[in-house]
Amino acid sequence: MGDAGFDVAAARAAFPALNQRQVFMDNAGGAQVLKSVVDSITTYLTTTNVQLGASYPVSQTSTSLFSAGHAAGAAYVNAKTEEVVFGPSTTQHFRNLSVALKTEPGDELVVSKLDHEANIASWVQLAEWKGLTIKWWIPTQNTKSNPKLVVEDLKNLLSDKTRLVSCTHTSNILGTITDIAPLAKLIHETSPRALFCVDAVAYAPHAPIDVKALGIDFYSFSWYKVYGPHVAMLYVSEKARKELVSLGHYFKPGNTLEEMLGLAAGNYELVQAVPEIISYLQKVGWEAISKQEEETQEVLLSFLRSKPDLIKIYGEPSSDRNLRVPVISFRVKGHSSLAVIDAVEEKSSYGCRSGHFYSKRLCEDVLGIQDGDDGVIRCSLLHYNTKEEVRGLVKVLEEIIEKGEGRVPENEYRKLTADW
Amino acid sequence: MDVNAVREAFPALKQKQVFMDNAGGAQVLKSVIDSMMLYLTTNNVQLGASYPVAKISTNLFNAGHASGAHYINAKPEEVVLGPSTTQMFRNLSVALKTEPGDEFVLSKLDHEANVAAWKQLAEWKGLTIKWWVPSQDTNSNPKLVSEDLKKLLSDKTRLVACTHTSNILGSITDVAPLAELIHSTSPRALFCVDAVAYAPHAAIDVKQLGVDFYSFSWYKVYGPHVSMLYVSEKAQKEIVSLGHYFKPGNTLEEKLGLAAANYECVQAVPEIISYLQKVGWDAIARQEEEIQEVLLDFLRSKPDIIKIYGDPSSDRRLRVPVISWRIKGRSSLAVIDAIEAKSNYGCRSGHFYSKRLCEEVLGIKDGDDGVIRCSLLHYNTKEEVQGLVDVLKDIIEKGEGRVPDDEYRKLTADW
Repeated sequence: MGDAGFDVAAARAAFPALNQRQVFMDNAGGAQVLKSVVDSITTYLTTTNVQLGASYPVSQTSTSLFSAGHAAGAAYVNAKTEEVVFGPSTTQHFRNLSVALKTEPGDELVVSKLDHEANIASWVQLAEWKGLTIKWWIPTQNTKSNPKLVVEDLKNLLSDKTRLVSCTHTSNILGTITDIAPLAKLIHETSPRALFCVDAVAYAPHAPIDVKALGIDFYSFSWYKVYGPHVAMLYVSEKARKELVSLGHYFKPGNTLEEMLGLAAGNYELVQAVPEIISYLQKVGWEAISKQEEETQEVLLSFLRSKPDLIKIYGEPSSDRNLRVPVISFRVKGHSSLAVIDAVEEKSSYGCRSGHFYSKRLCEDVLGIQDGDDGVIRCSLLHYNTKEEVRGLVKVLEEIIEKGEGRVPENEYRKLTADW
Repeated sequence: MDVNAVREAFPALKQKQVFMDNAGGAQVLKSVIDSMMLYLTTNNVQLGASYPVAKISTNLFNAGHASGAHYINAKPEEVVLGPSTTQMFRNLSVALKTEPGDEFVLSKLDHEANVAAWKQLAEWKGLTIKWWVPSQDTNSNPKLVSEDLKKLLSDKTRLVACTHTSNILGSITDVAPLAELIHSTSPRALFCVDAVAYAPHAAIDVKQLGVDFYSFSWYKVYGPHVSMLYVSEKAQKEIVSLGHYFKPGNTLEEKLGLAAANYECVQAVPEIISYLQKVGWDAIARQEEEIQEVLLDFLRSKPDIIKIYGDPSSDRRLRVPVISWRIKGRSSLAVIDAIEAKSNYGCRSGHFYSKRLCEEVLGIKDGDDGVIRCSLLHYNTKEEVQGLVDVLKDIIEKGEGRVPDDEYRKLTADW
């Protein structure tokens, strides 16, 4: 047994891609995929890949597999099957939601500036098109170092005209966990028509999800950051469904979220593989995962904390897993984040990344990072990363800082083209 | 064409089930599956980063994207990949710039994917919809032709939407003359064509067609579950960007991408194209003509009992092997039940999401019962189709297929 009673070698064995020199430390951009998932997709595509809903035997099998995948995804977040829909990305889900959302003149949208653009762009555009008011939510405490989304700040933004509040469950830069339930409670008590939309993309790989306990109306995350293939899942509570028009076909009753917002966008071969992900997570257990995450993030955070004059951490400096997940971002004084990454890559196999990660408003308008394209250096880990790997990264960073490497990037322009 | 060699390329064909609902989704090439598996087990990371594996992922994705564009004679900045044609047309409808008084001409032959979003957009913005219903052979072999379209165009026309091939009729629309008429008649008009039922059967050249918007789904073209939308460089000026503020918005991907292109699927697209180039469209067309003749010849032989919807000829220049019909005195659903009770042929019944076509154009009273559809691809054999014909003969002779086991299934069978 390895770290904290967690058999990290056994966990790693479940992920074929880990069997190579490259060390994956940009996991917040996409996780490695379980072998069981890959096998499931292969089997599906080689035997039962047909249009669903027909009555001939192979179609019945395909339909059952897809339905089981859909149901497993719903059950995983403690939702009913008719409350979830699968699609290609959280960005697309929130866009569809914004098109379907019923609004009235005078409506106000409270939008968090800590968020990834996926949970901002559509709402901003919706407000522009319909002449609605946007109220930006910017934390007042520790704004430039460890901003948190808390009721004290939200209270000042809510009114009886609030129609939507959108924020992240965890920022893909800060890694700090938002305490969602009290926010949901405040929103629903204060503003009768208000709906609460939460982006869980950076949170979902690290913890179980119970949408009923959270009390939100809209919730989305992407399975390709949760050890799976390139699909995403949106939850809309039964109650909140009444607040949407259907984007589905006229001959469909429109009783389920799939009928209303499905748009034929659920990838069959991938959705049907979702039970394998859930099965793996249940087997490993979230406690073991949390313990491992706390240990690996402590290795990096304790180093980053050790040089307060040179290194600025953005997000929670503590490695307490109750407060933050291992999505760790920082800047080094006098160094370009892009250049530091260049240096890391030159001397090692550690794959981290620099930039704003589509949370550009957070970087520039909240954290005060002047060059938002240079942004932060981000190392995002999952439970299959080892303490040895993180120690190795720390050594490399120490060397880079000591030698003054990473001051100027080889190619400035790459900051702009590196954005995905 | 060596049909055995072709079939070898598709592992799923090695089973009892015979696939005859191909217009709903094609079988996938082994080379595509292998490519996806390799990607997922070695270089599946977020694109655009500079570490070695990310560079490989990015190159593979870009190559897939570029090959898809090149396949239809478009530039990479003119295409975007996404999850489905329905979603892509929805995004397009959200992005399309319109003005009060604009008119949309929508074809009633179309699958809802190329109707629903336009109709809803028109409703929300108070625009006018003009329905395009062919005036010749309306309830047997309606075709989308200039003569009818001419009457619907005006200087207020902003959009014309129609199919390259109906997923029920199988008849091929002659798109280029329509594009010419539209652009020469109405200055602001854009032409949006749904090629989902056409793309598995023929090569595509969007420049030659002269369309502004064009979409099809690779999962009906021997590939995995992604789709591809083309928007001409010129037409890109007619849409707003749905992309992020810090992106220049110079490419269709930046405007309408919405992070919806599945990496592992997109990077496998070159395998599909490589296969199609190897087999050759001439060989494919010949095979399709031969197999559709087997079925159409039978269907034509009983004009008092069998009504074909679409072109009755098996001339591959007029129609693709998406073949639909009804049998007098029978329920389409019940006929499918009967086929399944006595064979491994997987066909299907219903309206296939072209419900307006069925009910309002073809005059099929029970649109949910709809048509019996057999849709073939070049990997289907003459023997398979002959076998289906024998089963149909049997059913008709014995008077089977009058009443379905479960009426309700008509409504739940719709995907």
